Amino acid sequence: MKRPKAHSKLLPNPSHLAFPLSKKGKRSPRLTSFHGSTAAAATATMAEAATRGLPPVSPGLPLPEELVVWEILVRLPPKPLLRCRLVCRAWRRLTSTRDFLLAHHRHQPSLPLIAACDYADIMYLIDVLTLTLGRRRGAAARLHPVARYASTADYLDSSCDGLLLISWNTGPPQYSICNPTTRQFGDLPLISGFMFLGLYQHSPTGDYRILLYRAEKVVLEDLIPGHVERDASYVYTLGSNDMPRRIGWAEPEMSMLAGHSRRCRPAQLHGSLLHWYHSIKHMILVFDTTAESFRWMRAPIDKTENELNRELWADVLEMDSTLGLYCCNHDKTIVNIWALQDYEREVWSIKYQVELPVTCIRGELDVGDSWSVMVSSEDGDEVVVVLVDCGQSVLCFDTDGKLLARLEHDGNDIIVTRMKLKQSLVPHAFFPLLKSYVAARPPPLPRRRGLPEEIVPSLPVFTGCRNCDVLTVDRRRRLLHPVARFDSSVFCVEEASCDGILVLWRKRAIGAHSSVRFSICNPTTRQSGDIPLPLLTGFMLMGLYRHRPTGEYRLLLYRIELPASERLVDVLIPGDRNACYVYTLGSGDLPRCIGWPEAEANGASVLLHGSLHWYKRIEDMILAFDITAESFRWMRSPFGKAVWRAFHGLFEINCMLGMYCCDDGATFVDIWVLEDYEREVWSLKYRVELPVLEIRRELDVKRDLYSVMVSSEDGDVLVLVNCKRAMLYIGTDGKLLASLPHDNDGLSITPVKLRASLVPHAFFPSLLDYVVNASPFVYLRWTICWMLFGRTPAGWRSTNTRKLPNSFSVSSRA
Amino acid sequence: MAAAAAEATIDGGGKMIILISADGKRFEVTEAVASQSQLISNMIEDDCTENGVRLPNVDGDILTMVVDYCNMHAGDAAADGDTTKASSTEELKKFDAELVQALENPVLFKLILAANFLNIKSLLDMTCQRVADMMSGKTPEQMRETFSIENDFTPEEEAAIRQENAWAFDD
Repeated sequence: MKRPKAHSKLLPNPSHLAFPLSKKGKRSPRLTSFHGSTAAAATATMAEAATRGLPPVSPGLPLPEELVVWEILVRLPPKPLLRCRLVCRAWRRLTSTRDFLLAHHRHQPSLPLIAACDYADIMYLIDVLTLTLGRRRGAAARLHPVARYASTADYLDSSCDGLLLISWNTGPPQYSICNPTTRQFGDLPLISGFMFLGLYQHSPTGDYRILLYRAEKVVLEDLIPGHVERDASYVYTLGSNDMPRRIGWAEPEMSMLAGHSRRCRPAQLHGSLLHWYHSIKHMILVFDTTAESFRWMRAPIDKTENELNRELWADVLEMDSTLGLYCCNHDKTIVNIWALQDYEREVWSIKYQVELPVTCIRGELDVGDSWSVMVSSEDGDEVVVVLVDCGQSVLCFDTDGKLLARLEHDGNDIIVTRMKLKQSLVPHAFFPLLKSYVAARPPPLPRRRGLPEEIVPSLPVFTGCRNCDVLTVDRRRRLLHPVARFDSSVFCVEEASCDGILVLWRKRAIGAHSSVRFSICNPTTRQSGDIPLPLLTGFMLMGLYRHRPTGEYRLLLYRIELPASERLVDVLIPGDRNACYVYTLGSGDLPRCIGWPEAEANGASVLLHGSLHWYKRIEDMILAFDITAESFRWMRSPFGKAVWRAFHGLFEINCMLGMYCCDDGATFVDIWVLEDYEREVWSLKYRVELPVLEIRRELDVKRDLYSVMVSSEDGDVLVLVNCKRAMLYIGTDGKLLASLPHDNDGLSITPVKLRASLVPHAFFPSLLDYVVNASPFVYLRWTICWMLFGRTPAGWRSTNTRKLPNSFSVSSRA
Repeated sequence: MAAAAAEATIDGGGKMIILISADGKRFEVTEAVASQSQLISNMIEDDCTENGVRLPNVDGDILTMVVDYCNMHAGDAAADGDTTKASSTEELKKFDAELVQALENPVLFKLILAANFLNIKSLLDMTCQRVADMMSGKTPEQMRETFSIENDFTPEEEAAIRQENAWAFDD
């Protein structure tokens, strides 16, 4: 936190700067320091010397370098500052030093953070915005987006020195830390399962630390390795590989801070002390970050005097470089704001009593009284602002109750958090040490549209067995990520997926009787529609692909011979039985027969080299369909003889066809790669010995009730083991990489992978019953997203006897 | 004359001080106004203002602006008790905004140098913020053009820097 030497002389009130004329003639030797030292050069000659000694940066900018860097560049917002690094070498060098970046961070305003949910467009995006009132600078008030999370349910937990701590609320508490300014992002697996209390910089060491609490009741016990005592506080140092260190203080009030959920109210850091307002005790809990001790402090609110005080409307805040506390009455008409006048003696004085213009708020928001109140202080000013949020709007009032600004965001559920963000480009040593560290990569901050596809990982898809949840598994964040939930009309997700589009098999009422239809959907844009054909009974889906020459999306179907009783509905589409058909999405034509009676295949196909590929177990061959020539051919399999295996299948690895096969005992997996596609040369790449004992221990299964699948992610080959309690990632060296508890015994891995895509498709609106964000997508609010792991009894799988992904569902080989 | 001026007092203002610009223009200001400059404030402490303060690297035009600024802001710099002369916050903001908005770059830079030399923090903050605001919306190419800075990067280096923080360069 050291200020650069020359700059320190700029501190207000530099009383150490005695005017040196009394020591006449003794010129300061350090004239390069134009600033401050110029006070020493008050005479003509000296001043000239000073200017002579320091050539200006350029004729267009006739200012000394020190002024340009420490007075001008330091005031730039982060993005323009990064652009300045491209102007010239000198600027790049000077704006990259740690001292400069620290000074730059100090110049950034500390802005209230707003979280808004956006689910109109893509599923559950959380926008993190800063609120600038711009009163001091005479600029217009605005909301400025700083981060956008593409995940379902992540809460902001704390903000400190430009860092944001995020908790993932899908499943047990897990945390990540990011700097939205530098776009660095990393996971904190070692504090999973703990309750978060506060993030702070430990001043003696400069380390960033997290204060945690281990409550009596924990969501998922086995997430924390080793023996960890309950009801105690812990400290974890960012970037450290050690488990959180126990510091004691086992008071039951601690868990009350978190209320009923695991979310803790954000702490206010004042000096080296963290403060929380405890709404039930009406006291303030103080944590000394240096001594690592807690104590209670008096709050100005008297319990009896303010019997209407509600937990939601009172909290501590940083105000005029002292601690403040606000409290709103039950009717939401008056907000009292106190300041801690004497910290040692705990003397509070009331600073403002703000009468909220209730009529004005009601008029502006038009939502009755369902708004909430928050108080924040504007940076550098003695102005306290009352923020009122509801729906899509934030209203800002000054302490006279005058409306300063009304800000809108096109998302929903705007929440003014009690945190503030002061942007920072200061590098932190701990970031690269974090698990799944990514820098300057968009995953946590994807752009709104035109998401570049290459950065979106193609992730394996899961379907919940007894409900219609579709989830992808994100290895980097170690979470199962719900992409869609379908209502009970969906029979199953067909094993076909292409460019972010899924094919569903859906029950529909047609005339007097119900039947089934193919539905096409994009879970990312939440578009869905049926294929506008009367009936496709007797057709079996083989694959979905993009026809390169035309760019059309096509379905490859196989028509089977139906029993005589069902033929009535079958005659509408002309053509042979036992043949392949091609149907173009959005064309309005009937499926076109292309022949090939022998080419019957179903299950997931792998698209590579312009062909779809299936493994045919009975023939022990690979069937390939050339999507341009519309012809089939057979390819060799790596086995050479037909064997029945529990788990086998094709997958794609680095643009090559891969094939895996698990032995009968599910103890090892062989993984082949088709090295020479033309000459059909397979080579055995890996034999992965599955850590059976570890799997059994991790999954807590007595017998081998688990399924095995091989997938590739970012060029890595991964073995996925799934059972009813968890999903495990195993590397090719047989090491257990990660364990993802899911607590959904109906969850099964499908061989389909989904690569989220926002690319619009012309065919969607032409589909029958085309809808966006409606059934079959069940409308979900972000606050309940984590419930996707719950079970809903639907029993749809049993009704669908057409095809079952035998090889990938849970095998019960006793 | 200077000595007479120095001894003269006006209501509540204390001693008068003469500031002399590089081109010999003389400005008479109260001590309260002048001591917003840390440089002059130190000189007053050291008692060496009797013969006027020569400011050899501040032009008369620039010094006019500085004195105007100091006169306007004397209120908020002075003790809280003396509020009679303090201009209202709104007026001050308007005055400040107009002062820097209207300036051409070369004049703005001279004003920065003067504020730095005289060590008037609020004026330095304001003028430097103006330059920073000007830079904020510009591409690196535009910045080089505005400030006639030579691009000393090789195309490869430039590409690498763009790559480093690609998001800062897209709009």
